[in-house]
Amino acid sequence: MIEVKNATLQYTTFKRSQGLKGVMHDFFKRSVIQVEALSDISLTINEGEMIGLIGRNGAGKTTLIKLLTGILPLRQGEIKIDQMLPYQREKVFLKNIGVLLGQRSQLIWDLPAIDTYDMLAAIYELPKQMYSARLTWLSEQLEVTELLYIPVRKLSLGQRVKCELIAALLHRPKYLFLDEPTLGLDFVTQKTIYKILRLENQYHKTTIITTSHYIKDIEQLADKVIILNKGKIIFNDKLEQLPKELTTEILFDIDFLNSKSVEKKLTCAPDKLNEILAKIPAERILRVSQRGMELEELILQFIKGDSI
Amino acid sequence: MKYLYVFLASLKAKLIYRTNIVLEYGLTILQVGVSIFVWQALYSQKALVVPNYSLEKLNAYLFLANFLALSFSVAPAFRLATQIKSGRLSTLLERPISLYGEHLAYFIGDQFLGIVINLCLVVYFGALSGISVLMLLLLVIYLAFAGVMFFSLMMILGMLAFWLIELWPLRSFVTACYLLFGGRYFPLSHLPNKFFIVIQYNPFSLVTDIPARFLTVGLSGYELMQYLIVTLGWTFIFLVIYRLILKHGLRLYEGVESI
Repeated sequence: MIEVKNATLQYTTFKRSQGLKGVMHDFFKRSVIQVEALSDISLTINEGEMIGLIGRNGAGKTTLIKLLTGILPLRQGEIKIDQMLPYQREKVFLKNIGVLLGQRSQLIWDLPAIDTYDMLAAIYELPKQMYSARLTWLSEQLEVTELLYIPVRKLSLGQRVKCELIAALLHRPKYLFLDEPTLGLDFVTQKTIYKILRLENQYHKTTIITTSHYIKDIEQLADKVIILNKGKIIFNDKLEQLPKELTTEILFDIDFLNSKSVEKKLTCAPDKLNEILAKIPAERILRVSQRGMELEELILQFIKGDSI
Repeated sequence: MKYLYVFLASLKAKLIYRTNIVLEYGLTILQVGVSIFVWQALYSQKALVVPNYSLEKLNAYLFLANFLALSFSVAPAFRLATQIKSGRLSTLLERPISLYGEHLAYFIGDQFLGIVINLCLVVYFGALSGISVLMLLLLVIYLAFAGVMFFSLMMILGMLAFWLIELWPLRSFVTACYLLFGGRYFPLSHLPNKFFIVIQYNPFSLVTDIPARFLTVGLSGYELMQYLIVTLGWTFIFLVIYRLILKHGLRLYEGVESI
């Protein structure tokens, strides 16, 4: 279980002055500013949950992930993962986490992926049989068995990401942190990755925390969404609990066959729905669906609403 | 076991680029050749002579000092600095592996070919100088400890990247220090005695000048033991400093450009 209590993180940065005069001034005396990356964050993630962590750039998503993976120290508040403090980086904790980033490779660039996997198997002390079975299963599921012996630098982006995913999952982590896992990938590869992650969650109760600006990732990989805005959590609940009243307009689409048996579509407001349905013979109605707000728009409206 | 795999991965990665290996040793031979050429000119004119060193011994000394420097490389410092600057250090921090251990295993793998070549040079020049097997063994043990000492110093240097971010400006300074204080231009014993007494114990000298002197003009077992004790002393100091700097440095680390 991941428990975050009143976590606040500030960091110091420098304000750069404009122009050559400003640069010379900064050389002798810099303007220091304090930035609050996270402000009094509290949340609980239970084992086996699939969480989508979203927010605008600079909202604090990456900072939160860095705190959870033990990269950054927390000075205010408390973070515990299975009763362990991430920053202490105990061996047991490190064996239980896996990280996959869209832009940072953990594979050895000049060598085939299999060499990295052999090394990781030794680092995570995986029993030989378990490693072999796990690698076989993962590489078959991701269809990369033939690619394991090709130098990583020779692989395409999609092939590399699949290999990266294997590296992150090889030791069967209890907690998996994903950052833009499908960045730049074709839709077939995306579907494959979604499938594998869902299987991991289903069979091994892997807790998956996904950070992504791509809503499809969130839709496919998250049962629960945490929305961050300016370092604060503004929403933390199931995806379907996103308040629908934010929707400015609800419309209905009616697909039907006209007198010439050509498929047509009508869109109407809720108060006109019954009136229109009454005019179309029942046997010609193909489908009636509610056109609500797209998830992306819904989240955007939610964040904007919080910003006002 | 995990460090063995890190070592193997590093060795494999090194062996892939055969041209780089050839260039590395070829350029070192060229560099030594230039030094030998200069000293040959000085000796022939009797303009400058290093006491206790005939021209042959001096050539051998320069060759050994510079080839040993290939194995005792400053590369670990800049590998660590690059990892800190790029945020790739996070990959290591997220794994159940010691940062020091991983870097040491990687370094040994990266330098393995050089280590083997240097061991062969030790045996060759030792036999040439009539040094006993026992003394050669003592030298090998000394070189192993000196290697760890030097590596620890490089790790400290690399960790300056937590504060400096860009370490490349220091590269020239470190290289200059290594060339001068490591005796790679001339034997340090050529310096005035009041400087030599102190300089001989500096970390750069301990990995190049001392073994090169041992294999050319010779050192007694007692003297070698003395240098070994100093080496162990430096190692202890560097390891203490390493742990302190790592603790403080990690607090500043932001994992920029990555998680």
